[in-house]
Amino acid sequence: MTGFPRWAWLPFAAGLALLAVPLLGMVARVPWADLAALLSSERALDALGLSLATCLVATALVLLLGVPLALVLARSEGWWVGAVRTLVTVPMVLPPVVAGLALLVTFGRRGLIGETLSAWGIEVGFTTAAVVIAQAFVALPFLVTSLEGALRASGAQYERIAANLGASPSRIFFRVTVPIALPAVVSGTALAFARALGEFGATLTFAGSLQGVTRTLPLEIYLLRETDSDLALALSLVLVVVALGIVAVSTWVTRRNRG
Amino acid sequence: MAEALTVSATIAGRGFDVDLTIAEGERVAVVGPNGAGKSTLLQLVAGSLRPTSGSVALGGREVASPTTYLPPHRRRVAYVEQRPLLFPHLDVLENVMFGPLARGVKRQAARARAVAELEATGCGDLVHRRPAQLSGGQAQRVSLARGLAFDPDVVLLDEPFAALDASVTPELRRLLRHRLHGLTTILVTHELLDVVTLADRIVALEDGGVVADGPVERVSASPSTQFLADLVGVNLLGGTVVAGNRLDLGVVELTGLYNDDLVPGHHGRATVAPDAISLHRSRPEGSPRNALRGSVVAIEPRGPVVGVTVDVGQRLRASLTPAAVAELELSPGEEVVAVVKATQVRLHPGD
Repeated sequence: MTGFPRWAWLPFAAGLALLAVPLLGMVARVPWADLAALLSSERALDALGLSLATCLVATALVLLLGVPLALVLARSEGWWVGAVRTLVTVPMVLPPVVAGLALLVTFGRRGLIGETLSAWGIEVGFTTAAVVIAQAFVALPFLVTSLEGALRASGAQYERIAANLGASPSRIFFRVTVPIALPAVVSGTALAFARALGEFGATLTFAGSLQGVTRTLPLEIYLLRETDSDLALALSLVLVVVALGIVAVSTWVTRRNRG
Repeated sequence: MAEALTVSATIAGRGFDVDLTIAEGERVAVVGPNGAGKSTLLQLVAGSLRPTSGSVALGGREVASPTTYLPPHRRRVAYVEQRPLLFPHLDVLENVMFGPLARGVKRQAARARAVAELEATGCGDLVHRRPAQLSGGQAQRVSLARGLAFDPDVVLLDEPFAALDASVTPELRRLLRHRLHGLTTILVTHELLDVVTLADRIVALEDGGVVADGPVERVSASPSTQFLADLVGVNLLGGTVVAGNRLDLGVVELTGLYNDDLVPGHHGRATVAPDAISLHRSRPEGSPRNALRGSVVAIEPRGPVVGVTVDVGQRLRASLTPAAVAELELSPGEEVVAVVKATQVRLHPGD
């Protein structure tokens, strides 16, 4: 008994091929010899630097907002909890271009909030700040949903013990809740970072594509794919490597926590 | 003695209505069937529940009422639960230091206090272990050390042995006896042995209210509810320790199994199972056994056996077969001699 019908091997192989072959195909086309030169070109460095900087800021923002958000959600009861959880999940399944449009009509010069900001001399649309907001918008749900699940599963028992021992709510948060949930925080953060790094549609719609200002790696790859496919492939390789690293980190953390 | 704790509170929706005052240093065992309100009482004292009416006072200071509420971390109440629940991300020493640090003790002092407390609970060699590397008994000791390390005013113990292997409980019970000495304690338990060895006073809860409250000897000598009668099961006699195996009951001395913990001159307790007692019309000749003279108080059938209560200065219940009762022609008021082998008498320290 193997637990599955023998014909399942067929879709197994086809599915695996669907996932692996394009990656192998890309790796095969990467201009390995010129890689160093390509990646140190001005366009490449601009895109790499911008992506790294915006993703770090966006991920920090996600952590700052997402951990307390997940905690409140995990420890609360009531009709509104379900509603908030749905709201938090929506950006995960929303087409990114729609997310970008929503951000644009809210924070853009004529937007709900953008108009007020504009009156104060603050422009958000088509700036690096817009890139960060777009990335945080799409990445936040990834941290919140995975962390909330972990916090709910572990329960509030250690928090209760800590309170009885004399720890204030803030002390409990920093000394008990966060350290115990650290594996979930790390893997949630890794996921959020990956999502922010790959963000394309919302960024393009809300922030545009200005080299060195809003043109992140995915946007640059899209623009270069026909004019300079070698550079596009080199930059893509960087993203594949980062993705592999993130998956490795998150599996390692989960496994270490279990064992 | 000063009042350490006063609970005079109701919780609507749980049918909880309890009036209880505990003096400083008093050790109270709380017993009762599941759902009687034992855990509710502890949670009310710890602060995880608030009363709908009435109040909870610690050391004369009101900490909870419908209008006031002192959160758990501002009360000095230790709460040792069934499961140790040690913080998994901290080692043993850091777990025990948590309380003192949270209450503003400097790191150095907190460390010294934690080490001392761990040594007192026999965990001095475990300081750098992770909770996952401890046995159930060790973890519960550490949990106790963690609860006591911040010098609580009141110690709450919620069935501290319930989740443990039976083989480690005697040792832990002995430890608790020493560590809780002089501390105001509420111990929730289902075990008579815990009551006998760890408490001065017994409070029985049923359906959210107190149904019996008094010194352990008195409550267990005449159990007023079915639950207490079932809990007691065995006879409990109080007296003064004469030697490690002898107790002076006032009218007669009782010999039992030797116990290291007995201190001559101090209070001691003896437990005897009802079926270990035989009744005779006169003292059997030449018997080295314990013989207690008394008069029959009550005779009542209990399933296949007959329970005979004899007043030997304290009350003693014997289980006899109906045939034996008929042969002895027992009836209330009759003089009898209750005989029990020393090996059937267990002795416990009583203070």
